[in-house]
Amino acid sequence: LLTLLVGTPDLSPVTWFVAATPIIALLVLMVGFNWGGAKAGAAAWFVALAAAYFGFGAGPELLAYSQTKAILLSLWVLYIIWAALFLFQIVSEAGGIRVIGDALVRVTQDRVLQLLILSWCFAGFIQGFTGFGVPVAIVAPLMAGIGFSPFVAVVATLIGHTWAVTYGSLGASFFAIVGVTGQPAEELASPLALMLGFTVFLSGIAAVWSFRGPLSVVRSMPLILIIGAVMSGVQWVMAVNGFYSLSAFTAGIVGMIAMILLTRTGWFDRANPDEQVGIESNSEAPETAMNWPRFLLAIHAYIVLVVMVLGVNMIEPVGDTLGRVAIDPSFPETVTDYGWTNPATESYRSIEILSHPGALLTYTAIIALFIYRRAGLYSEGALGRIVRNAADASVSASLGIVTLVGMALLMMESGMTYLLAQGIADVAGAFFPFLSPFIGVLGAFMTGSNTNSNILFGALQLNTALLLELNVGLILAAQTTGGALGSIIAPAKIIVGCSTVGLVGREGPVITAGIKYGLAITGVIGLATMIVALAFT
Amino acid sequence: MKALRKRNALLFDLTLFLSFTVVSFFAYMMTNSFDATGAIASLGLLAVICLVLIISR
Repeated sequence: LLTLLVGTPDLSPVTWFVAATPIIALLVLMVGFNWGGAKAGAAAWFVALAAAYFGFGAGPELLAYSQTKAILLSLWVLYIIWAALFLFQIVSEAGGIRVIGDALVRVTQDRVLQLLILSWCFAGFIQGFTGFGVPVAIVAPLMAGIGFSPFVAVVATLIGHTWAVTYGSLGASFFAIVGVTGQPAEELASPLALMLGFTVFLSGIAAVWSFRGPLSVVRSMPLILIIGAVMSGVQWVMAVNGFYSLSAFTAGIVGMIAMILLTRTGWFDRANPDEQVGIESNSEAPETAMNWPRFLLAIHAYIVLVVMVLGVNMIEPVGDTLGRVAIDPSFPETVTDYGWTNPATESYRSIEILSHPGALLTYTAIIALFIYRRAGLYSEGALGRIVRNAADASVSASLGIVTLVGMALLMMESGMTYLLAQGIADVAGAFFPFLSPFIGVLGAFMTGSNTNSNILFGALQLNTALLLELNVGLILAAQTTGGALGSIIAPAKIIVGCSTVGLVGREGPVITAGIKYGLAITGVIGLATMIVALAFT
Repeated sequence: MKALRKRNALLFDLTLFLSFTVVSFFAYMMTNSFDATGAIASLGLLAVICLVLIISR
């Protein structure tokens, strides 16, 4: 065995199984019994509570504090979801989604290319400066709005944006793994960007595969290779030159422009009417000329959003001033009977009410509402419909998020999640490089976040790499890539996606597809890590 | 419970969500003030909310 566990029961198949029971319960109920996220999350919450108390010696105080931390984390995410849904309904009610769809059809009628532009490039670009489920919340309904089936819209977006997750959110996940491992950023930047560069191609391939299968992948391969090379190259160049916060953002925007330019040449535009799988309505190229003022009016909300996010993040005085109003309670140290310690903290997850991404989405939504209204794009009762539709989509999803995050925090704060990861590391031995990204996936699955996965398992991966004399950069790259890929199967993100396309309570098939594609890509990343590790040993 | 939710699912779910949120913050204050007793009381309330959530769907 590699390491001694401090603060958890002895690692054995029984304790490992007990630690896994909440996840097993969640998956069985969602996939096997087709329960919705909220109902399955509540049931898994009970399982986690029992396992933490009886199996891991977590006392009532630890459990209660974990739930306050969970609600802070939940509200942090939900603020974004509510605001993103509100913004989407504002644009949709003004007919903006239809206009964007028409414009996209002018670029290409090929559904696969449309899917790649939206779920791979555009979602990656949005991930670059937002993250935390926003790409899924914005792009999935956009795709559904222009005729993709809701299922395809969610699955393809979940897969397509993963390449941008680590360097996305203005580099949050990258800074997390640098901070938690103490490794120099400049030493980690290149291996991480290289492995994520490989993920660029895999996520593009998997997004197309999830839509129309392998033949379509073959047909789209030249485009995926060219645009993939552009996006992964730009991300790598930006990262190694120290522009960590802008790596994914720049790669996404350059990729999107390159994709549209390439598509406009017509080389790849080979629409096949026999392949209309997963589409609810076909779109024909409009015969009238492009109405640019109408298009700019439709997309102005997203331009305002980009400017606002960059402004608040880049202009420090603005961010600092807005960030003063915050919900930020401190927590005392909590310890389980086995000695697992959650250190006291002055700030667990600060919700900065005025500078939070959700606040920026809300400002954007209010500006857009005002502009669309002035332009006369709303009929009578529009505001009521906007609020009603946004509430319908978000309330049930919010219940799913709070129960799932509650379950995740019970597991994390009682040491169950760490024991799960340690079990994987111990069993793997020489095959650890292969399983390393799966640990990253586990962290993101539990928390819905690459950043949290890196915080949770970064040190474990580093220690194991040192013990096994593996290349640290390689293993940490595998960790964060796994954490990014975990977005595909993280129930919290799946619930977000489903809520925006009218699939609330029907998350089961999406999570099944997510597991299939997410684990397949992670397996390929694991194999690549193993091969590189063997080559360097 | 299912019939109750059927009458207005949005309002029912919103009530459950707000209850879960309030009780989770309540757990912080109760545990700070009354240690284990406060923690058990708030965890019990959360358990009731989860139970209602399960049986209402």
